[in-house]
Order: sequence, then structure tokens, then C-alpha cells
Amino acid sequence: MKQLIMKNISKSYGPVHALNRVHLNFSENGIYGLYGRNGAGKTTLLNILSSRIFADTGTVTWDGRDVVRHPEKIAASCCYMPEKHLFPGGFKISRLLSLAQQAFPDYSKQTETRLCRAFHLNTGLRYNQLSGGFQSIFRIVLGLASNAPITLFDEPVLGLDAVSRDRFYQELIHAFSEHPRLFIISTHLISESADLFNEAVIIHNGEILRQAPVEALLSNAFYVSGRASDVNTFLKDRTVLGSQDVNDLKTAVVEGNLHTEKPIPGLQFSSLTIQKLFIQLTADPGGQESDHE
Amino acid sequence: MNKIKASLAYNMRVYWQMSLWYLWIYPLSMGLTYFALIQTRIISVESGSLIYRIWGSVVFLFAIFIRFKEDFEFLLVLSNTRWQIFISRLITALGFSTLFSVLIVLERVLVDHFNRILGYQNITDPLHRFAPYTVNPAMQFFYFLVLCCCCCAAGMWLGSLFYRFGNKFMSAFWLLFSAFLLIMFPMMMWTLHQKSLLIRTLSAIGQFLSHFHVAAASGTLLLLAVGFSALFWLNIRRLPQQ
Repeated sequence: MKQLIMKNISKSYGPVHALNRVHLNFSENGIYGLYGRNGAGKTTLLNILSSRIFADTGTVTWDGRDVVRHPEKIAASCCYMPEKHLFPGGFKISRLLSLAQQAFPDYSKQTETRLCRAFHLNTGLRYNQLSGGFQSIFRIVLGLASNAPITLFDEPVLGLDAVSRDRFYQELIHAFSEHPRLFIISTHLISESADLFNEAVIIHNGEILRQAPVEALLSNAFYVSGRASDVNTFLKDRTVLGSQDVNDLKTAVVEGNLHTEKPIPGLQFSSLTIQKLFIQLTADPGGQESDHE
Repeated sequence: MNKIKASLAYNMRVYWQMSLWYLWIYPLSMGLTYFALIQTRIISVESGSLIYRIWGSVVFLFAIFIRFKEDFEFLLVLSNTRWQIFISRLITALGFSTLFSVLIVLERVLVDHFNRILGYQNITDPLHRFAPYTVNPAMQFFYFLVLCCCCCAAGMWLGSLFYRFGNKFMSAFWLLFSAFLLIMFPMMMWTLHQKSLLIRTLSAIGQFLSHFHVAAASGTLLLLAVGFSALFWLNIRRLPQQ
């Protein structure tokens, strides 16, 4: 099975460390969600994976080949739809799609036609005549129709209404089942996208905090709440991801398996959502302290 | 190969759209100018003639090939490698150089023809010393082809440098360029004049240009074109998207 592997990747922009010794593995057939706060390093990571920019240290390999030394390997397999508008504004959508058809060897014209119809994308318009939402739709159509073995989306649902977002999620699953491949999708809409992903990658301040299936992430953390003194006793010798005090009551997020915990009188245990876990993992320490107060 | 074809289709379309502006504005403006000059008898059978001007399009080619950012970033979206981008740009440059070289030769044939049937003389204006026209059309075509290629390659290299080093570098470059044209060059001329060397210098330059060896110049321009292309490749080989 082919793998896209990042080893010890670091990247700085002047004094800003965008990525810091990142190690990641992506399997050939899987949908990966990339979660991170603004400026966490998601776009930098995707840019390095697709060889748009180059890491300061470390290597990226696809099928065992270094993508910097063998750029043709990644170029032949990768379709990256960036968040930035990098399309010539004066070109008609139909012309851009026909260029994409020429460029991507597995491109599916049928998928393109079906998606354009499903999303009501007018291919007679020029790119700069499209609204922000339709520009996102255009990128979705191109990315899904490309059938590229590695398809990367940076914020694909930016500016999309709820109906179009839902349609995208359905089409993504459809594309994956029709033509299994590697999808890496960065998004801020954690709750609504979590069910799509085989694995979630949580990145914060240029470092990978977690890479695991969503279920595994959620089964490894839970809420505990009750009187502050009881909760504090329970938290002894445990890894606490975050906590919040309200008067005499306390709620904490703890690492561990909820199902292996025995009931303790006065304490309530409950499961987390992926969004809550993300917030606990990536919230500013200062913000948490203020919550305590 | 598919990617290079797609890049070529894109590049050709972009540069064709830009060239179309030149290709309709130039004949229109020249036609109107000649019409006015003939009507006011500034050009007549006794004096004056239609002259060749389109060789100035080499400057136009240089200018349009400075365009880099939009093309580079879009071609990366189409998952081209830097090498594929380089090759497609090079082929585009060669294509447009050929087109403009053909037009330059064609203009000469047309202008000579019209001068003959209208009874005008063939005048070589001073600017033509920089664009030598030989009696051999094949040699003339080759000379302009390498001149156009050289200008395109220099434009591509400069465009990629602007992209790599950003707006400050671009501003500094044009500032220096303007400073040379507007301040340093006139000062140099003034200094030569003060030392009574201006006439000697100009006549030496004139002497050199009037004995211009087209074949030797073509060879030199070919080397320069290869050199600029190599520099362009060296610059984009590991060029990150900004």
C-alpha cells in the first residue's frame, strides 16, 4: 500500500515557526481531516505535501520516493485545491475545467458534469464573475472530478451554505466509494465533518497533537463533573486536558477511557464531542485560567 | 506530457490574448499615421517613405513575458512540476518569437512593396541601425527570432526574480532602471560633452552599428537567450509559491 509520509518536517517564515518537527503518515485510501486553529500550520502542511513550498528540514515521501528529488511523482498523483484564489479570473469555468481535464490523467468528465449540475455551477461564467461560494464550489468540482490519487482540499467549504456543504460531504463519500484514494481536508467545521473522516489530525502551533481515528480520539477522553473537591480528588495522578470552575462545581476533561471508569458517588462522567476535545486541546492556557476565575 | 500540453494551451491563450492588443493597435496606428503623413504631403514621391517599425515589438515581448505570478501559481494548481512549467514557458516564448519574427519579415516585404508601387524611396531611419535588415530574408528572420527569444527569456527571468524577491525588489529594480535612464545616462552624456568626447563616442557607436555583422550578432543573441533561459530555470527550480 502506498503511503504519503512526512518525517521531521519543520518550516519557518522568518521568526514564525509554522511547522515544528512534524511526523505524519497517510495511507493511500483514506479520508483525513486536518483540524487546527487559524495560523496552526494547516495550509503550510498542505503546501509542503503538494510541493508548492519546501520544508526547511525533513522529508516528504510518496510511495517511498522523496517528493523534492522526484517532483514528477507527486505532481502526477496530486491535486491540491488551495483556499487562495489562484485561478485566472478572466478564464471561463468551462475552459478551466477543460484544462484540468488535460492535466489530470484520471479526470472524469462525467463526474464534472454531474457535480456542475448538482451544485448549479454555471460553466459559461468567468472565474471572477463567480461569488465566493461558487468559487469554492468550482474548486470542489475540480478536485473531486480530478480523481487524483492524492486529493488535498484547503478549507473547501469556505463560504458555502448549509445545503451545499451537506452536498459536498455526500459527494465526497460518493467519490471515495467510487474511486478510493487519499483525501486530506482541512476545515474549521469540526462537528459537521467529523463523521466523514477515517482519521483526524489535530495541529496546533505547528505541532501535531493527535493523529488517530475520531472514535479513538473520543474514547480516550471524557468529562467529569461534580463538586470541586470531589473532582480534584478524582483528578489526582491523571492527565487533565482542561477544566472549568463555576462556584463550587467543577467540570474537567480527562484523558482516559470512559467505559473503564467505575461509578463514583457525586461525580458524573460523560463523553466528549470532537469539537469539545479540539477546543480543550488547542485553547490558550490564558483563556482556561480566566475560565477558572 | 499531458501536463505540458495543458500548460501550453493555457500559456498560448494568455499570451495570444495579450498579443492581440498589439497586433490590432499597431497596424491601426501605423495605418492612420501613414495616411496622415501622405495626406499632408510629408511623405511624397519626392521625399519620405513608409518604414519598418514592428521590430520594436521585441520590447513588447520582453514586457509581456515578465508576467509570471499568475501563470506560475495556476500551473502549480494543475500539478505541474517546475520543469514542466519551464518547458511550457520556453515553448510558448519560442512560439511567440516565431510569430513576431514572421511578422517583422512580412512587414518588410509589405513596406518595400508599397514603397515600390507608390513610388516612394526606401529610407533607412536612424533607429534601424539597432534593427539591421539584411538582403537575406532567412538571415533576417533568424536574427529577429533569436532577438525575440532573448527578450522573452530575459523577461521570464526578470519576472521570476520579481516573484521570488517580492515588491521591494521590483520597486528597487525599476527605480534603478529609471535612475539610469533619467539621471545617470544624461549625466554620462554631459560628462562626455564636457570632455569633448561626445561626438567621437557617438560616431564610434554609429561606426559599429553601420558595420553590424548580423550573423555574429545572431550568434551572440542566441548565447544570451540560452544564458537567460538557464538563469530562469535556476531561479524557478526550487521556487516556492509565495
